[in-house]
Amino acid sequence: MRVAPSLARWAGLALTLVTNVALAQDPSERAAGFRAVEGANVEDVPGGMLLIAAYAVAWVLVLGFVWRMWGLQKKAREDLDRVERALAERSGEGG
Amino acid sequence: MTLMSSSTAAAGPAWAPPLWHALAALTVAGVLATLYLTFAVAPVEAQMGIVQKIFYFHVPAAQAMYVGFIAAAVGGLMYLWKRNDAWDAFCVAGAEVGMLFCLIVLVTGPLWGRKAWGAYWVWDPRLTSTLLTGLLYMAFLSLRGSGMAGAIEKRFAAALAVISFPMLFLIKYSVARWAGQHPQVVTGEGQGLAPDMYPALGAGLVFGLLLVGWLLWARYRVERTRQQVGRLEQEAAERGLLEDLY
Repeated sequence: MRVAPSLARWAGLALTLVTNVALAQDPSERAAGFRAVEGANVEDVPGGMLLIAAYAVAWVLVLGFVWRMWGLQKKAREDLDRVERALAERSGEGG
Repeated sequence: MTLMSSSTAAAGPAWAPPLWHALAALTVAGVLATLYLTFAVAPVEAQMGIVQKIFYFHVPAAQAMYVGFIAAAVGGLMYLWKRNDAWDAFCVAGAEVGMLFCLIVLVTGPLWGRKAWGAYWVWDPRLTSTLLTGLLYMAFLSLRGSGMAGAIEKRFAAALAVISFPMLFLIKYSVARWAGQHPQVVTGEGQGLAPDMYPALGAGLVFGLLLVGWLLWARYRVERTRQQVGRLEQEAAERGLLEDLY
């Protein structure tokens, strides 16, 4: 079956990754709450740039998906109209 | 003429229904409101700083990912049972939309992690299980990527969507069952959120659902139209008319 090689590659990668699950960390070290800052906000790692990058990527992905859907729908409608027109002409010739 | 009339009826009107446009407008308004609440109302988090604002769309994106992948599993299961192309379209729409939000989760999480953990990626159970789920649905999309899937590919992809479904539980409960660094702010038993943070998160969750619903609907419509084109071409080929179409 021609789908098998593609699936086998992905399954192989997935199995490789799942074996890397880390189990040794202490659950008590997790963040368990968020508090509002008091006074001026001072940061060492440039969180603003990370935030902008995250928003930019998210919006590019969403808008790119919408753009692709619009293109697919446009092409599908054009194909449908073309096939229907050709079939109608052929039916007209026959009848 | 019978062929043409039946095909037009099955594909539906060329224009989108008013409810679809209304949902789109509501989604855009909601997303703008969420941005306002995120940046103008929600305070900066004390420990992580401004990067914590990723939280207000990282969590809704994760929720949208669940919705998409659940839709794919439901569509796949129903297709295997009924062999109805409408369910196949629903399955494809769910997988693609779910994958979109899975990518957003997998990109925004590490950007947040760079500040919170000092590293873009750690092999935390939740991160790893989310990546693994994304790879499974990438396999699905590679099967269906050509848009010209036959019955075997459809069944194979539907089965893949169904057997990938339990991975969602692994993502959901990995953070509670196993050790890791992923925060447990929303579902944990810690201090939770500061009161001023709830409106932004609530709006993100509500309008994130609207966005995923609209995208699912839009992608479903595209797939149904493509299926209709495929059916017409097949009927034309069976009648020996295919060469007239190209």
